[in-house]
Amino acid sequence: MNSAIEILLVEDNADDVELTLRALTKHNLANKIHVVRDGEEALDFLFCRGAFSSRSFDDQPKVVLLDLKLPRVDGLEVLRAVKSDPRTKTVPVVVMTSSGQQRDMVESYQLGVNSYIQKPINFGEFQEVIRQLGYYWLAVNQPPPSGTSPKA
Amino acid sequence: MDFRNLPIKRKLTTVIMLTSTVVLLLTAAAFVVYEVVNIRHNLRINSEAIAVIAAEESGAAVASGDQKVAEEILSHFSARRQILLSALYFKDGRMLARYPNTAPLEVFPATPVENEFVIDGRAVNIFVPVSQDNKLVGAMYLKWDLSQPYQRFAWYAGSVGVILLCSLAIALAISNWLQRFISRPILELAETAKAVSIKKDYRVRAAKFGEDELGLLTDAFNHMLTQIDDRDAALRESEAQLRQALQAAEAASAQVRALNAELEQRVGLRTAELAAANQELEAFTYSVSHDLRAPLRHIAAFAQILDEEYGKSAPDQARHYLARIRKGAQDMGRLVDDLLNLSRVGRAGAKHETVDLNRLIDDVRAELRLETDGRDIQWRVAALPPAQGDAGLLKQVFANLISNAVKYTRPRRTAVIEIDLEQVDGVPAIFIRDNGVGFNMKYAGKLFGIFQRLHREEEFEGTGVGLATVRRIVELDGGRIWAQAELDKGATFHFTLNGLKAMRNDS
Repeated sequence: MNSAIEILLVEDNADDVELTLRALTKHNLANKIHVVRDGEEALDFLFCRGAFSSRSFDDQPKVVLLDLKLPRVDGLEVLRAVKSDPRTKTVPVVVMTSSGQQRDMVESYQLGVNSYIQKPINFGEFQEVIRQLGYYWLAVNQPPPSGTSPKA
Repeated sequence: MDFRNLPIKRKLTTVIMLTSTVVLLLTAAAFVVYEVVNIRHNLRINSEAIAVIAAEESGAAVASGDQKVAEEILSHFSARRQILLSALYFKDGRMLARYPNTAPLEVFPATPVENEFVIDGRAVNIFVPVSQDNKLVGAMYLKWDLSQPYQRFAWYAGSVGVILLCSLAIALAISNWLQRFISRPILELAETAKAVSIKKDYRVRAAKFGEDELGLLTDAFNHMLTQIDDRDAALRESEAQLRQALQAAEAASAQVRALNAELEQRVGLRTAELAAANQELEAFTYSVSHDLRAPLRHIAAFAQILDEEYGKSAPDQARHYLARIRKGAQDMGRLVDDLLNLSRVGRAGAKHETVDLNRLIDDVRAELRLETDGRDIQWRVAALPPAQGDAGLLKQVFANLISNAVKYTRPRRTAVIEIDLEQVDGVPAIFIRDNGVGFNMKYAGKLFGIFQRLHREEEFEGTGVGLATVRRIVELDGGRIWAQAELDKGATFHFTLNGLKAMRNDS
């Protein structure tokens, strides 16, 4: 389905949402993106429940861009829930965070994160990182075939 | 009973009595022997004198063989009771007359001898020759009764015996009295010694009875007791002192233990507090890292977007302000990073590994390429020995000091940066010397303080955190850091490292 969401952006900060969307738009990647503003909403989306109960597990995004510091349910908990459930564990997750804390990085990798990126201070660099990310996960990487996830 | 085991009293008495008895017995024996000899002598003189007189009277009768006259002469003996028998013999041995003439012939000796004085039981047989005109004509026999001398001797011997016994009794009494002068001091000494050995009481003293050898012995014994008593007292005193010292030591050690326990408790408490504080600090730096960086990124990003979208149409002044905003955000971002680095030093457990300092310096120089490209810099880097330490922290030290050297030599046409090892007070120290702008030594004290800067931002950029971080790393390693400089001549930074010392000693 062409209308399927390709990127799920989990970001609570409006500035970061705007900057990320701008960077994606610049490279024509923003039309298939969905933004959620906290961890709970992210889980509802990925587990097809609440406001997203009409979604199907077969139509998971090609990549989830996950901030760590989120209200209500934080990024590491979202990551743990996604990677420990057989229906969602194949969804690629990229952590994008301002934090340079080693602890967060180590824990993310232990939970099974697919990539870990610290947001550069310099906007030019940030734009370049977003471009590479979009290109890699949407064009280069082969996603898991749809329907491989067990039914709920 | 063995004489040696007798009590001293009886021993002394025995000795005295034995001696006295022997002496008295010998004396008595001498007296008796003398008396016997004397009695016998007198008896012989008396009896022989009577016999000789009677023999002279009867010479004629024997020569003529006149029995009647002879018997007449012999009959005179009746006046003497001692004369039991008497007879006159002819020369040829025949008997002429006898007294008493009624006595049987058998009691007389059968044959006469010329001269004899023989004691026979309780009588003595005496023969004396009978002469007439100097011619031996016969012999006269007398049997003399010894009862009287025997009686006298018996009385004498009895007297001697009584005197002997009396003497012995007196000797016993005297010896009993005298022996006390010797035995009493000895017994007293013995009693005292017994009391000392049984009761262990060294304060008793033996009584003294005179100035003789026993007195000296008593004095010596008492003196010895005094010495023992003194020593005993001294011993007891030192024992008491020792016990006191021991008690004091025990009390002190108990106090030390109590203090130790208290200290340990306090250390535990402080450690817990410190851990809590550390945790708080970590949470704080996490916030700084995340929450301060995010708005900075946003400021920088939106300023850039503004510049990109509207920069070309904006007046120059607006573009200048935009540049200032972007520069401010960038500087603050670096400051946040530097502060995070400083706060991490010592919090993350420092590793102990062998670090190749030469490779580390090469890495730092490579990372500074953006700064150094297009500049004329003479590098004089000596081969350094490997050091023991945390590679990450050591790299921060070299990165800060080398980038400073690069930065402050910027005005020089040819910069000279020297890195080498020297001995300072016998300790190896690394130094990094440059020919840059240097600084006035009166500000040297401020050099390593946080946020302390010796140059204006327009001259040389910086946050004032780098050297504070360097000092913290070096001091955490047990080393020290100091700088020498002269304005416009250059600066030299020296530092020692514990890990460097260890490696030098090993090699």
